[in-house]
Amino acid sequence: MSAVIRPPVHGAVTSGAGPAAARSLPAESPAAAPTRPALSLDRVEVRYGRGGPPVVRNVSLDVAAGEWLALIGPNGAGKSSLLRAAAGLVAHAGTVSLPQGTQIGPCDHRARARLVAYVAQQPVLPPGMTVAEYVLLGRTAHLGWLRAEGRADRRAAAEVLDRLDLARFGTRHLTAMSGGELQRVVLARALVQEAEVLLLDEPTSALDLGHGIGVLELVDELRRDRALTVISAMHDLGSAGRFADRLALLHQGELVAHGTPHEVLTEPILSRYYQTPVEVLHSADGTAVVVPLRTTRPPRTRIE
Amino acid sequence: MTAPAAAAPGGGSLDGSLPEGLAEGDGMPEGLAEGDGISGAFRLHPAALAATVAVTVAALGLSVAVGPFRIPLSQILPAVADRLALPGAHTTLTPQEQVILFQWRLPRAVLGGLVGAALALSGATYQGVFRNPLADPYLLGVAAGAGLGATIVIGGHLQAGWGPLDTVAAAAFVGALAGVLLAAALGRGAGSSPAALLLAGVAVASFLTAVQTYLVQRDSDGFREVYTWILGQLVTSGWGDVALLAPYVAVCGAVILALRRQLDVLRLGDAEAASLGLDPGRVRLVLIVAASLLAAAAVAVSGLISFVGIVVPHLVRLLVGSSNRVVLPLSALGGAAFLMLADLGARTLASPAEVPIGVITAFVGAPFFAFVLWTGRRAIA
Repeated sequence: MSAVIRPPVHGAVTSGAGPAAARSLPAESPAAAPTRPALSLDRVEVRYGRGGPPVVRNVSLDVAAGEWLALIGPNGAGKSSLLRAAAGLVAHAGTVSLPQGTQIGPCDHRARARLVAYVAQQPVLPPGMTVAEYVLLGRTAHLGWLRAEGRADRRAAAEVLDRLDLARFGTRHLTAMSGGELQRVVLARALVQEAEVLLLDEPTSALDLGHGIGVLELVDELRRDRALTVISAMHDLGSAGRFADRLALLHQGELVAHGTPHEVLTEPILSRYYQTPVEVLHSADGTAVVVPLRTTRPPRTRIE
Repeated sequence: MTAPAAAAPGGGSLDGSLPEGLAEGDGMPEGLAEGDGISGAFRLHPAALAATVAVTVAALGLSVAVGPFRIPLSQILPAVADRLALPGAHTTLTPQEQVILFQWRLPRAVLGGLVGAALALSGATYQGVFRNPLADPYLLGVAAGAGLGATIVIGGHLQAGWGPLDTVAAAAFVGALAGVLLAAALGRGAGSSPAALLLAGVAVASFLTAVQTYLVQRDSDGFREVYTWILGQLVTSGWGDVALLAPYVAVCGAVILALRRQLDVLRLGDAEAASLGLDPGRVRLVLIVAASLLAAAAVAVSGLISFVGIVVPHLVRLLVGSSNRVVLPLSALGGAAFLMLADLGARTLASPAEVPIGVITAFVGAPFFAFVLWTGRRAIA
């Protein structure tokens, strides 16, 4: 099936070409009347390798302080690449403005890390490293070249461990932790960084239903407690719709739809960009539930 | 270490008094995990440091005392004090014994210690920088590159020196850096797996060694000196080689130890290290240059001594812990002890003949390497 990108099919859908159009403000965000964007992307484009095709094309987005934006889209749509561009981990065209409107050069990792924390989809777990050590590494951006972690850094790490119920695991090796615990540990490291913006790449992809929801609830609590801005790439549309204030749908590197979950999670939009028919139901509290439909008739099972 | 202060009532307080890595070895039982581990994180336990220092001092004492002429251990310190003209010092050693002590034994032991510290520290640094437990100056083509550089200078009679600035050392350094950069480039081209880097290192090392062998064969007279050097040797008289090597060990060692925290951040990989605020490329470059200079200086003085850079850091990781703030300083000390003891074996095993020290370290190191390869499969994969 050939994927053809056509003009918008929905009011909230924007074409990648119009950055201004993409900056529609959230309609029913709990962080009502956002005063300033915590992070703003302007015509961001990412390519891997010289002359390669762009995997993110011309994406412009503003994310308000305290908001949770979920990046959704089919595999290979550019969600992770866009996050990595926002985290300054891949070279990109266009501009990324961080909290307080600062723009940071590609090499000033330290200044950026004080403003933006990034959690990889599959974090590296060094053998022999303890949970406490791993979380303490989150203080890197606050330390000068020749300085070791001081008492204040260790206290900050201990507080976060305590807050995430991880204190008893401090001396445990990372490799001995379960998936759900590990995701909390990785979050703890990001929190110790004390950045305003939290970028999460598929935070629940390795977790079962219960642990996945647990982690997202935790992220939401922390967001409210600490006035964090969250941008997450998410696979699961149901969770994205339930937790995020706004959704941004990427397709072949372009921002194709953008708005509240209610506006984006519709049958025409999803069927079209995921290239499979879906049915969108609404649960009692009004959140969308996306049900994929079969494209072929189920084969009849024969019992002989 | 401020061990978990609030010891649990029922829990053994034992784990608080042991180094981090030792206490947990393979999964500590739930009930013992007291304290949040933050206070002890990345800390070098004084007991581990004291034990390593003790081993190093003992190795120094032994290698000075033992030999065809025995020098009583108890006489060494007074003799040194006397030599330094400390007030109240008095030695009972004969003048002949003093010559043996100060012109032969002590310089050789100190040189062995410096070479061992340099090789072990550079090995530990490469392992950290490349995130590869099997990286080693010998396996990465560093030593072979240094060897080729030194061979060209020695064979071409280009030796000249001004203090620690020496043409052999300079050529060895250029060769070492070329070797490691070639291995890194080749390894990256072949994929990002640890095995790729290692295989690239082996290929680079074989090639450089082949060039070196060809040069030596072509003009065997001019290169006679090179031959003994290839096998590794610590034959020295007087303090010349020590004076040559010591500044490199001091400066490069200081640079590497100053970056030990950054090396712990690099354990997370480049992308995550950058997201935490580190510039991985810059840290890596500084560390590779320092480690290569260290290895090259050692190779220029002592020839090709293998496996020190892999045995010692791994022993430290097995016994004490995996943080680079533990591994780097203890590897330097342990490397010094290891090579002094290996040299003791080289001098005494076939006395009065001498076994090349590279043979001793390979004899100990190769089986150990196999052991690490075997047990470390999980960590490498």
